[in-house]
Amino acid sequence: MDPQESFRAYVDARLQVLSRVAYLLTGDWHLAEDLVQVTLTRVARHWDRVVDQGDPDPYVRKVLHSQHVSLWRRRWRHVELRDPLPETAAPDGLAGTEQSMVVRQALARLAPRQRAVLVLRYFEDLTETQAAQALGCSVSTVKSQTRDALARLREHAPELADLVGAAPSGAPQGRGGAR
Amino acid sequence: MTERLRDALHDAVAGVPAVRLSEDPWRQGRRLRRRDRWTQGLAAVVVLLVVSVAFVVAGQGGRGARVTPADGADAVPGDVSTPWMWQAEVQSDPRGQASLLLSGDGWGLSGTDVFDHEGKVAVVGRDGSYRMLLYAGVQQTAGYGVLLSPDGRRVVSQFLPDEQPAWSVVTDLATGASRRLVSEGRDCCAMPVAWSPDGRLLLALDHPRDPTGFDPVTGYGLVPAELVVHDLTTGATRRLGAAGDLNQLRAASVAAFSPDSRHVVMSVGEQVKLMSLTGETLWTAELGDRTHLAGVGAFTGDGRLITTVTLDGCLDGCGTAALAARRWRFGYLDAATGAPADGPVLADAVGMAVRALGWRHGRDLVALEYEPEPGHDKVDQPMWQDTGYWETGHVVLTARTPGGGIETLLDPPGEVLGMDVARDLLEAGRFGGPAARPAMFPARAVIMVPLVLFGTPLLLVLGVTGLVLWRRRRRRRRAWTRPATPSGPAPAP
Repeated sequence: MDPQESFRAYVDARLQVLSRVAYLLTGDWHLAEDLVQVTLTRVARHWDRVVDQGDPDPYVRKVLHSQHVSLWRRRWRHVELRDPLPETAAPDGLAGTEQSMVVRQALARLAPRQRAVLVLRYFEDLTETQAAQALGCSVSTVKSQTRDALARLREHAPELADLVGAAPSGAPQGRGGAR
Repeated sequence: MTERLRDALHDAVAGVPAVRLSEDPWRQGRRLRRRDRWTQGLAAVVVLLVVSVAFVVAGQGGRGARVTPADGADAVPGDVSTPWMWQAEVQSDPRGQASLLLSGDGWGLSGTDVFDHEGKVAVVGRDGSYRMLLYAGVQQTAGYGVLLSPDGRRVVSQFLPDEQPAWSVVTDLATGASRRLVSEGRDCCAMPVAWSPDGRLLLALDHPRDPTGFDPVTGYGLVPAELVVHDLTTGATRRLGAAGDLNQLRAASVAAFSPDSRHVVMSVGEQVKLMSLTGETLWTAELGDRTHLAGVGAFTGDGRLITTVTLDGCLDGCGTAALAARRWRFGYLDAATGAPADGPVLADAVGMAVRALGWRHGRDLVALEYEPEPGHDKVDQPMWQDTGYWETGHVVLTARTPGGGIETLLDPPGEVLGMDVARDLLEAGRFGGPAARPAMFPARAVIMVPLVLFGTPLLLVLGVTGLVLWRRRRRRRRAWTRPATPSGPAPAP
C-alpha cells in the first residue's frame, strides 16, 4: 500500500484511542489535541521506516509519551509558582460520573511519568516490559513509578481507595508525592 | 483492584471523541522531513569541512619533524614546501645556518591582500626548520635584494621594517640579531647583488632614496645606480662604476665575484667589464643586446672563464608562450682578456630566463630556471624583469653537466618564485637532502586569524550542541520526576 494511504488508514483506525490516551495524559482537551497533532506529524515524518518494522503502535506510543513530556515542560516553563494555575478544557459533551471526574482530577496531580505508567498499564493494558519500552526506561522503574503513583492517589484522592486498594502494610503513605 | 482501576480509567474517557486535527499530519510531517534532510545535508557539509581542515592542519603539522641528512652532513633539501602563513620569524626563534631562501606568493610566502601582507622570505634551516623574514608588505625576491651568505649563517636585506634606517641590513641567523650597515656615512640605499665567496664583502647597487629625474619618454622615475663593494668588517665602501637605472637593470646579470673574491665582473648596458676591487677596469667586452652575464655564479670554479647566456627567441613584444619557448645558449669569456673562449658544452636552457648560481664540484653549472607567469607579457615595459617577482610563474633549480646532461636538483611548489642557495653546499654538491617540511609552531600572532575563522564556528557548533544535549537531558530527568502541580493540589476544573 502507498505510504500515504497506509498512514491515513492507521490514523482513521487509531485516532479515537490516541485521543483518549492523550486526554488522560494531559487532562486538558486542547493539550490533548496538540499532543495528538504533534505525535502524528512526527510519526508521518518517519512513516516509511515505521511500517517497515511492522506494528506502528509501539513507535507511536513512544512518540506520544515523549511528546507529552515535551508539551508538559513547555506549558510549565514560564509559569510562576504564584500564578493562578492554567485552566483546563474538556471536550464538548463529555459526560461522566462523579467518579470519572475524580479520576481525571487525581491523575492531574501525578507527575507525568507516574500518570504515564498508570495509563500504559491500566488503560492500554500493556505489560511492564511493554510500558518500559514505551517510556524508554527499565522495568524496575515502571514498577516503582506504578507503586508511587498508586500511593499518591491514595494520599490525594482517598475517595478512590476502593479503586487503588489499601497501602501495603509497612509502606509509607504518600511516598511518591514527596518529590 | 487493577480491574476496577482499569474500568475507572476507561469510564473517565468514555465520552471523549477523536480530536480534530488542525492540519494534515501527513503533509506537515513530510514537510518537516524535507527540512530535516536539508539541515542534515548542511550539517554534514559543515562537519566535512571542519574535519577536512582539521586533517589538513594535523597532517601538515605532523610533517614538521627535524631533518637529519642520512650521513649527518648538511644538504640542500631535495623537496621543500611553502611555509605556514603564521610561521615564526627568524628574530623570535632563530635556528642557525640555512641552506635555502625561498620567496614567492601564496599565503605562506606572501600572505593575502586582506591580512598578513608582509612581503616574506622563508629561511630554510639546515635542520629542516622554516623561519621567516618579513618586509612590511614590500615583496622581496630571494637572490636579488635578499641574499644568503656563502656559509648560510647570515642574510643581507635592503632593509628590515623594525630597524633604524640603514644602507642595508645583515641578519645573523644564529641569534636573530640584525646589524645596520652604513656606507660612507649614509643610511640609504643599497640593493644587495652578491656576497663575495669568502663572505667578507658585499656587492651592491648603491642608489638614492628618490628618483633624480623622470624618463621623458616613459615617464618613469630615474634612479641611477652605482655598483659598490662594501667591506663588512671595516665598513669601507669602494665604488666600481655606474651601472645604469636601477629599475631598468637586468637583475639576473648585474655582476659577479670571482672565486678568489678579488675581482668583479659587471654589466653596463650591452658591455661587461672586469674590475679590480680598487675600481680599476681590467677589460671591457661587447656582448650585444641578446647576450648577458649568466648570473652571480658566472665565474667558473677555477676562475678562468666567465659564463654568458645568449637568447635565441623572443626579445620584445613577447607573450607567455613566446617567453616560455625562449632558448638560452651558454657561452664563455676568457676572464683574463674578455675575449670569447671555449668552455664546457652545456645543454641549452629553455624558458623565460636562466640565472647561474655557481659551480658544483667546479664542474657542473647550477642554475635557477624561470618559467613565465601567464598574463605578464613583455610588451613595452621598461621595468619588466625576466627574473622578477610578478613576471615569474615558477622556478626550478637544475645542474648542467659538461656534455649536455641536465639534472633537476629542486623543483619547489608553484608558489616559490625565487630561491637563493648557500654557496658552500652548492659548491660541495650537497643536494638531495631529506625533504624539509615546515612545522606549524612556533607561530606568529597572526595564527589567531585562521583559528578564529575556523575555530569559532567549530566551537560554536560543539558548544551549542553540548548545551542543547545537556539541557534536554536535565529537563527530561526533572520532568519525569516532578509533580504535575507546582504548588499543591490542583483546583477543580
